[in-house]
Amino acid sequence: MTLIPTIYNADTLGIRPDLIDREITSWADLLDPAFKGKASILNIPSIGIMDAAMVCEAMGEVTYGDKGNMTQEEIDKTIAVMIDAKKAGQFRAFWKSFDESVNLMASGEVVIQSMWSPAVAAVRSKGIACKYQPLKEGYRAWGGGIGLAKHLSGLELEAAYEYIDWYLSGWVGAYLNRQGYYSAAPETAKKFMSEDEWGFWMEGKAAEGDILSPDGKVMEKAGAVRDGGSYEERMGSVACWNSVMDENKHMVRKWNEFIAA
Amino acid sequence: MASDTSKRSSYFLISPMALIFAVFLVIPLLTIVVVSFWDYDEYRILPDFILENYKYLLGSSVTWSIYLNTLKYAVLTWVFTLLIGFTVAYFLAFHVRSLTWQIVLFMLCTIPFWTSNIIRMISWIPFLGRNGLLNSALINLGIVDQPLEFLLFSDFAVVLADVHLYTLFMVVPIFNSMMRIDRSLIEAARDAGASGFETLKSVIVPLSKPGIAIGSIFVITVVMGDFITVRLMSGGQSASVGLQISNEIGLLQYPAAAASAVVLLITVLLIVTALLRLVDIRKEL
Repeated sequence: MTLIPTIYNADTLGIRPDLIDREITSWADLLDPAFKGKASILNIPSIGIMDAAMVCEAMGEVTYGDKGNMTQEEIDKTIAVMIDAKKAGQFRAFWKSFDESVNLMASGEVVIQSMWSPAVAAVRSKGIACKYQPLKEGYRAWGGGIGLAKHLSGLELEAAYEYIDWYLSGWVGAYLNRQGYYSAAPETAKKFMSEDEWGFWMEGKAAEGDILSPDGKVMEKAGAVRDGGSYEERMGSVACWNSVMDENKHMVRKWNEFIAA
Repeated sequence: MASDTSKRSSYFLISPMALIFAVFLVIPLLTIVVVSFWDYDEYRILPDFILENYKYLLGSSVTWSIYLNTLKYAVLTWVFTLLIGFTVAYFLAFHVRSLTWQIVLFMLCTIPFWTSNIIRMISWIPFLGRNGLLNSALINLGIVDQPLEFLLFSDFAVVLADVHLYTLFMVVPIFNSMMRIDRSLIEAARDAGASGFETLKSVIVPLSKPGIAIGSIFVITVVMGDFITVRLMSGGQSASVGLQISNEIGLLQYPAAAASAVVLLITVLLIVTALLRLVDIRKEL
């Protein structure tokens, strides 16, 4: 399967700084008993397992050869740690969709959890403090792209190529950047963003004016700095990339054990 | 000859229904059975004949704990919907004397069904949450000093939502059975000196059995197959068979999902068969 890259980002934990009275510095903090019943992890096996691995590694519970392609033993150990935490009542909920993560955080059911960048922005745009907390172990990164189905030919194939060209021509890229993602074609996206927006989202500069979300809502007031800083700072401290592991089937089954435990 | 013609015309008359069932029920079901023997990888399903999907499913302790959990939800929901449904139906059928009021109150029961299932379920979340209406009220009244955490994202929340959503499925068939009970039977019981409770036990309950059985089939089959209530109300922390199937579909593991679906179908059919053994619905319809 071959894709042309369109989007990627570096993910970390989201926290409610107003409800947590200490510094959060490590992935291990997700399983800190201080947050018992107030933590959450995303329940999409291929992504959740990587967050879980970041946590287990930070705790010193499991060492990995390659977190992006774990062995059965590494998967089993990781899941065992998560099951223990679940049985001890560490988690308030698991989320699967964007909105669920926003609601859990905004309602205060959860104070620390796996999160995606626009979800943090969505919580903040409700006037609720939420931080996309950089952690010392680094980020879990992911990427996505568009692929062509092999049955395409003629006009359909041309239309598909044209769509991809449009997708990478800048408007979409600017939209994605304003959500806190990174467009895979930053030069074209830059043309559709103001200097201030580019400075805030990509260069880690303080916003000069209000920063608006793609649909025009005020997301950040003037003076705000993006959590994690510039593109180089964020993408420069990526610890692992999401992937489909060789042991994917085994991993999904173990993950289901965790959810059912 | 005459019987031959009538036979042929009856076949002709049932053919549209048979065709619809064949196309929309039998063929899809057979497809599911066939696919349950196929293989799969991350992106594809691979036509094959393997027993691996079933072997894993039936051999895994996860399956057993998921079934146990699903049955727990089904039994709890059944008990509560039956108690509430029977009581409501009894009230409507025997306490409310005028037909107009019976209709008005019955309609009242159905009003919640004018909104979507999901909305009615989600409404519980802000109500039961840590900072929700109920916890705020309890704290402000000084009844508790810490929010009650078990109210949301718990088995309690799942069963509460299920009972709320499905009690009407119990009320309607039981009410229907009760309305058919000949009132002179109750008079006769009273004349023979039966107390209210004896009348209930020996006359009303036995004669309401078909309604109870139909309601039970509705409630149990719906809860056994449910995934969205379990997912939303348990905060994704509990598993049910339906949720397992939905997860497998989400991960493009169609053969595994198909095998789970076949096993679930057999389980539910066994439960329904057992219920039908207890009560002969056909006799009463």
